[in-house]
Amino acid sequence: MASKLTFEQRLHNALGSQQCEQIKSTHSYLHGMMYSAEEWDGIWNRSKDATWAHSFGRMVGFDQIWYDSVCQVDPGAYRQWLAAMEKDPNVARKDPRSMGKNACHALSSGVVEVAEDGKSCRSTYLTPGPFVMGGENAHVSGGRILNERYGSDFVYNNGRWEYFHEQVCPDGFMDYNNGNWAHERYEQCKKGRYTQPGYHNPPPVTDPGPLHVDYDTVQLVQKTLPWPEPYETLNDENSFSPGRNDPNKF
Amino acid sequence: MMNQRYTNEELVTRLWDKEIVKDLMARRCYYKQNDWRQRELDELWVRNPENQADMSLSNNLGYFVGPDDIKAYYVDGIAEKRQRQLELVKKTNPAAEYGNSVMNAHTYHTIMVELSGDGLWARYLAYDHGHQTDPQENGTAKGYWTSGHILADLIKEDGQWKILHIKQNHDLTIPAAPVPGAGGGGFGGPPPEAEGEGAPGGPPEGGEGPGGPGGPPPMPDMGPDPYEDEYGTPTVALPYVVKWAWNDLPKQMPNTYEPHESYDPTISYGPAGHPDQLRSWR
Amino acid sequence: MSRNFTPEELLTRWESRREIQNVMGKVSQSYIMMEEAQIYDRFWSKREDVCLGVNEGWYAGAAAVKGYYDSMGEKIRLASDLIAKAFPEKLSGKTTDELYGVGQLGVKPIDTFVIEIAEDGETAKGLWSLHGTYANMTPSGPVSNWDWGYWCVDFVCEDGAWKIWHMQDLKDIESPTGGDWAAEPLSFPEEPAFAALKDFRFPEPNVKATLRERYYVGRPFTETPPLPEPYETFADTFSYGM
Repeated sequence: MASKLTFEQRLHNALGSQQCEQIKSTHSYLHGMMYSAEEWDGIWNRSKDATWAHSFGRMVGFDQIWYDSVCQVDPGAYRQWLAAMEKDPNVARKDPRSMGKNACHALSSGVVEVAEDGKSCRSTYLTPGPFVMGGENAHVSGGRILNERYGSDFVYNNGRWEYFHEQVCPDGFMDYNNGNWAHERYEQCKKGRYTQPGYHNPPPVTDPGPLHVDYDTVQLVQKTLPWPEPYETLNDENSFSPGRNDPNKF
Repeated sequence: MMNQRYTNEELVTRLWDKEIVKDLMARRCYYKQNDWRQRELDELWVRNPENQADMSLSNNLGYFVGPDDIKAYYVDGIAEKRQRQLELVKKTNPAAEYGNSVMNAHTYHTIMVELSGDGLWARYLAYDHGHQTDPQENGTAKGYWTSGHILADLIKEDGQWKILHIKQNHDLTIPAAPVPGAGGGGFGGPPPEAEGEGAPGGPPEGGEGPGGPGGPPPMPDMGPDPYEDEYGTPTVALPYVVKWAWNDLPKQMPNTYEPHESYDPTISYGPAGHPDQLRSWR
Repeated sequence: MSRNFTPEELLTRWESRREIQNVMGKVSQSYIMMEEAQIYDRFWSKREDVCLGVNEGWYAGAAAVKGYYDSMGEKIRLASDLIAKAFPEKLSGKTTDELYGVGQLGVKPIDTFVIEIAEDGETAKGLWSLHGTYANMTPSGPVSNWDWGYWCVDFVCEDGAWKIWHMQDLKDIESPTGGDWAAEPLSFPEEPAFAALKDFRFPEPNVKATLRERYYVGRPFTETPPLPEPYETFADTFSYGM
């Protein structure tokens, strides 16, 4: 496909591919630091067609994403920070959000494609899932494995690449060293206790889920996020949020 | 569409420079797994004596600075550890040789590379998800999960990318075997003093709305992290404090869009750029 | 790189590097969508001299490699049938196609890649680390394993597309989650509903060889597979094949 393009167009697309990888990793670290505001402020498209989806459904539009991901999340971090400071004055000079949690959704197995028109980029990743958690904000206390897949769309808008759509598909959250996740689900299924779709205490979303369900012995194969193939332009056939592909819809 | 500052030829060079940096750090990851530590210093790190005087390798206790201190910690230290391990193994397996029953793996992913405007300095960040297995006294061995993040400065020396600084910020060690009452916990910090604080439904999980999939696992006090056996005595004792997790990472992440123009030691991953020298998290 | 490439050549080589990452990313993601059985047709060269190495030996030749992936599909189909029969209250009425892969999941993240493309642009080599977990279908029912090791791949460029020519899929750790790989592996009682899996056998490698030993206490120090080094043409470098 690249041979149809000029050298300059191919170079633009290659630089775009590399920059979208960088943006994707930026998200992982900002998320790991609970820097939600910096993430949405810094790397996201702000249009009404920006979307962020999880098992519980799809947030639609920058305003909803911001409310759900910043306004609904930061208060918990600050409450934990205040509680931790009551016990340890050293907390006073620490960052209320990043000091006790690093939920780094690490990125592996990336498939990245830039559209032939150079105006968008699409990727899918798996996470190997190392997830270090704070019991309180002041104390790193343990880790778990979070198996997820990610589908992302990026747009080239006003001279820079921006995050446009994200869909997170969790397949399971398990301990490093306790229990056998597949056999435990089997034993539970034998007792009639199946994995329930959905999410406890979900934030408000425009498109309610469930969009993906954790692993279970009776769970059918979920091909929620097919990897991107070479494509011409962002459209309903090439998007992780069909029907919402205008990065300048305000 | 193109960046106006650079010619297309320069942009292609910048494109490849970032890939070469990623490849070089991946090689470093494999060299470390193979205990090829002297070879790593010889092949992948700076060779110019002036640059070598500044080279540093840090762990959670601080920075080993200069080729001699780095070698003493990183090369001689692992040789001594392997010798101690071999002596243990030989008690039940007298024919054992170097590294018997030892295994370690590291993986570098979630990579960011910031290439300076002048193209001579790269700032690198990756996450390291790995494991290590250590032989024990009685002819057995124990496996551990390890995780942390790697920050590195690389510079162009005679046209070749070379490592100048590496910060190995170790976040967590978790035994592979179940620990009664640990609930998935690990070494790395004191146990939580109370459960269920914070937002309803468990601690917030970042951008996934209030609550999250699972709360913090309870954990007993498990004593010192076995990973600390390798820490040694650094040249400059400026620590990475696991208790405060990624408190300093906001100041240290490579830039996503606009790179710094040229090498700046005050934001480097060497001791001169240590974040504790800044007075507050802001 | 020892040769000086033009900007045009360098850009083409960068595109190759990205395409090779995409090929292996798709192979990795095939396992989470239970599309293992399609890996040969989609991603492998159709040359006769392809080979796939596992810890215990080689699947040498196109028929053996294809047979290996076909047998993955057969096992998935068998296990799907057994799960459907074990849980009729949840799964009755589903078609065979709908049931294919039920209760099975392969999480095989790969990264830490070192990739070298030949100066002649006709072949390439890559080493990846694999760190995953998967639901293994056993006579005891589903049992999740850790899956840690390496993917080592030689690629060949065919009709403008990068294809797998030789591959080694080598494990260091493949033991049940919830236990230490350095200790006796966890075991689970056999389940009558999954007894038919006792008779299932993957085809043996048609060339027996020990390519790598899984970890055991007493294993000699085992280095990673060799790293790709810059090379001019494939004859000048080592092969990840036989």
